[in-house]
Amino acid sequence: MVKFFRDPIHDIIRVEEPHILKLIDSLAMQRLRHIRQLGLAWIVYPGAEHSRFCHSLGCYHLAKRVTHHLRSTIPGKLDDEQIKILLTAALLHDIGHGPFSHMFENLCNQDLGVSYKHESWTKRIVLEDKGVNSILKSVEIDDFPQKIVGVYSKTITPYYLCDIISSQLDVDRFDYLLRDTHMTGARYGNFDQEWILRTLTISKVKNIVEVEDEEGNQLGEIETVVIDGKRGLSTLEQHILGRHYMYKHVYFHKTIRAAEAMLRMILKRAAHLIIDGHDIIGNAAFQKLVKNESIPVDDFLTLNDFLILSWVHEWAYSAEDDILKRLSQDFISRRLFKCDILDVGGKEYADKRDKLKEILKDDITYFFVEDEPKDIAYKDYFYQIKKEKSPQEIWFLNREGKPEQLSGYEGLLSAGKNALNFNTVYWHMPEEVLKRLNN
Amino acid sequence: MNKIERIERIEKCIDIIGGEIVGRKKLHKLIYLLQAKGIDFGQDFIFHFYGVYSPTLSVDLHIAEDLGILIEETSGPAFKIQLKEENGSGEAKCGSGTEKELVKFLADQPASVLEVLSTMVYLHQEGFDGERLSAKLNELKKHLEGHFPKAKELAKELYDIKLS
Repeated sequence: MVKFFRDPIHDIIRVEEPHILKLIDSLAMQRLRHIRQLGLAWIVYPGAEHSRFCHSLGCYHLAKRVTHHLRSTIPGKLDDEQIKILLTAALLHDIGHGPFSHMFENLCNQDLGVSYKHESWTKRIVLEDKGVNSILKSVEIDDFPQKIVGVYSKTITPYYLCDIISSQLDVDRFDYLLRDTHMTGARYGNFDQEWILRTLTISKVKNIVEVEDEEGNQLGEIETVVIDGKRGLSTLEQHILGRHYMYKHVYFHKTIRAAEAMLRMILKRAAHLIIDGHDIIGNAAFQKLVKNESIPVDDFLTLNDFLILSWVHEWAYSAEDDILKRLSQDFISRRLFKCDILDVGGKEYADKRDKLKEILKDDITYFFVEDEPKDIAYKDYFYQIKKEKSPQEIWFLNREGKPEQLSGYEGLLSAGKNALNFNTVYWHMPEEVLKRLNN
Repeated sequence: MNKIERIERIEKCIDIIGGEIVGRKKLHKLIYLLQAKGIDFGQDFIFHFYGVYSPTLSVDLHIAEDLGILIEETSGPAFKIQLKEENGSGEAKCGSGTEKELVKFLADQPASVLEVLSTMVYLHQEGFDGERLSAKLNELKKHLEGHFPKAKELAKELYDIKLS
């Protein structure tokens, strides 16, 4: 059987592998229809309603195209089993995301003190979810689920297999950049995907990161995915700059971040009420989460954006707790926190912090969030490459066919790595508090 | 843990080992191994061909440099990260005696040993054990084979990881 999906980015996505078709129909994958790719970005960009489901299908499709291209241009680098592993890993790479994607990670790790990583949940679902795991086990490849997990853990070899799913040149970035650009309408991220796919290749590169033997010789070489610079350097620059502008104008947008901060505070308040014994939510996963109890996979899979928004709407109208009700009402009415952007360290930061504590007193627990762009697990190349010899380096083949690091290339991008301010933090708080703070 | 707290912990760690460390990569392995022993630095790690690596630590080091806390300069093929004089006490006041001893002990190991050891700890956390761990280590870090015996000894002693 073959199925065709119409897609705004890739036009037609053709799926023919029986196990992929079954995985698409699994509960764990269908749940991704109810998780927005960009969290609360629709609050600023009304079109940004696309889901993790369509992004996952897009990644599967691109993995298929990349593997087909690499196999046909460099014979012997990818066998059938490896391709099956990569296509499956691409499709499932986001199944561990919680509601509102990265917002949920910040809520757990920073506000609730509970360790949560979507990557760990993705691995758990692959290994433990009855639906997903049984489909994977039916594929005639030894330890297939473990091999999928190995791609996410980067423990399978050869190393370039992992690169296709997770690196500076992976199918995840290729898909989300074009999809987010299209769906938000912010056109910063457009790049020539057709061309960049055709310039991908695999090459051995030097181990650049400080490993020597006793004689001072560099050890190890990596075989990694690179760009053929003779044809693809301009497209690569376009891709990197597009990503950078999307981070600047969409992913780090202060109003989106403020909305996410506000939702975090609503859920933080709800969590504290649950811990105090208030019966405000029946959902087993959230109850266990806030009490830092182990959550079975079945329970985790009940969590999604719509469920949480339904709680917020209910609390806005009928919560008995004043803080929960006020925050929820403000959220659904789009009376969002306002944002102040400042640099950490220094006197201004310390003085403002003192003044804020004085203004908010106990309210600081639920009406203030200090937030760093770093929190959203950004993948902006410039953030990772300010210095040379970063493991996040992108390699290209120069005119002589020799691998070179992009960070050392004196092209359009060379100034970009120095253009970022790493010290910035966002402070989110109610508008009246911000006015008093800045008076 | 916010930016300031994370940077303070990095600063204290470097202070404990005499105010400098040679090897950006060595620092990543060191922090990873300390976190695995329960000393929280608030850093997230991923695995790479070069072993465990933290994009967040990388950014925090840039910030610490921008704030004038650290300086980083090349030292042969590696990078030397050092506290600026006014920031190093020479006698770190943080952490228990046991923690300080552990930091010093690990920092005294060669970078390649830390790379193998941190890979073993990572694999162990990913569910590898015994012969499977040995085989995977061999597959991923063959080029550092000469450092396996020392790393295995430390894995057993410090992290209770047994290999075949």
